[in-house]
Amino acid sequence: MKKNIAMRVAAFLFILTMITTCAFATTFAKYTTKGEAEDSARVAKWGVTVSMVGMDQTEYEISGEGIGSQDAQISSATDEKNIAPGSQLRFATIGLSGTPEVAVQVTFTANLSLTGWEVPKNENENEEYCPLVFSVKDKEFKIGGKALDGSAISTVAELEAAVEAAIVAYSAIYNPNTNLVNQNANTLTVYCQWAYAGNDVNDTALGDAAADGVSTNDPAINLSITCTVTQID
Amino acid sequence: MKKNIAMRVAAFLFILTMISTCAFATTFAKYTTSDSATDTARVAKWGVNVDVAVPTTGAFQSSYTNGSDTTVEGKNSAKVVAPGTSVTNALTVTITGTPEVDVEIKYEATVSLTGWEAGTFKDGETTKNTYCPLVITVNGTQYKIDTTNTDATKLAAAIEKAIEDLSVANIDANTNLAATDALTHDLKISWAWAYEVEGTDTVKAAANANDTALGNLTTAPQISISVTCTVTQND
Repeated sequence: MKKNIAMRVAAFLFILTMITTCAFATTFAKYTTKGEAEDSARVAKWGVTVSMVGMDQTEYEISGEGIGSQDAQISSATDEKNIAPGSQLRFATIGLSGTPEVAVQVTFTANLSLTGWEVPKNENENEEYCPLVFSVKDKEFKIGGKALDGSAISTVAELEAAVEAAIVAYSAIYNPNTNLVNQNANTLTVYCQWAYAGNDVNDTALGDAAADGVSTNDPAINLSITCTVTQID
Repeated sequence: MKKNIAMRVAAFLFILTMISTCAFATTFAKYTTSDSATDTARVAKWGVNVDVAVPTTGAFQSSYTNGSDTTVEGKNSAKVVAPGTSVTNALTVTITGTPEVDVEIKYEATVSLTGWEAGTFKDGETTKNTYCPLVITVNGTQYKIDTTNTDATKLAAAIEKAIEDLSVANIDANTNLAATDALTHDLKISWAWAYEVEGTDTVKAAANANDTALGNLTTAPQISISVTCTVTQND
């Protein structure tokens, strides 16, 4: 009887093996070839900021030899920015920051307009007189000085061009992953100074021209600076 | 004595007769039927190759160059995309072989586009607009955000469908699977992000602003593509 049961179990297992072999034959025994690939990416970071702090004062202390602090101020009644002998005017400070993952072109454009900077030469004609000294970061430009290219600055127009060129010279190309904070263009500041000790007659003439009620002959400074950071293709 | 010799001769002849009868029995048998068959077989050839390839630098790269200048470089070698970047044949599948069995070609694709939102917030809205400047080309057909694929999810789905539509349920045995001018089961995926879009200055300015916005997002938008191609013998 025991032998009979063992035989039946063996027969059952044999049949079961045959059935599963047939049923799953196609699953485990066939030709198959497979290939796969995967890749991903994220957007390259930009994160560049350009800040520009312009003239933020309408009142200045005048500095110069022999000036008392009590009366050493110029103050604008109309919130216009003024400059006078002994004062310094900050026109702009450019701030750059960011570490973009792309190459960038930092482009400066500048347009300086100096109008009305002339004094009477005689009864019939005027002559240019501009005592202003412009500082573009650590370089100074004035009539009687030299431009970046070494050429002499002898006229107001040449002074305008020299200052503009000095600002534009801070344009540069930077490789990806360059920290712009550490670059020369960051903290580019443009100042304008008028020395207290100069030609008193001519300085006074300029002040009189500003006070004569005729706006067309007012000595004026207009400086426009644009800084653009653009990805390079 | 003579009788003895005769008996011996007779016995010898009898034995000789018996031997020859056995030896030549088949020769002289009259009724005979015979049949024979031989057959051989070899394994049916498979020889199918599925080559799923990406460029050495990847479908997406950690850096891109223009001439000798590196113009884009992901920090810590991160793979990135940016305006002006592209990879032609970023992912390709090439199937070859002439199997002696019926086959099925099955493509499976997963495309993910996450975080592609830029533009300005509208009053009262808390979500940004979809903006994905990527153009993904699947076997010559371009897929991008447009009136059909209005958001990144729909765009990803459209690309997945384009890839998976290359699947074929059954191809007869002895069919050359290699691509021909008339028919291909292969896949070529390319992608591009235009440096500057075509259009008016206003259109260009808007695109530049949106590109910049993507680059400034705290969580950078991402793209991933996964493709599997399997050629299986049909039963």
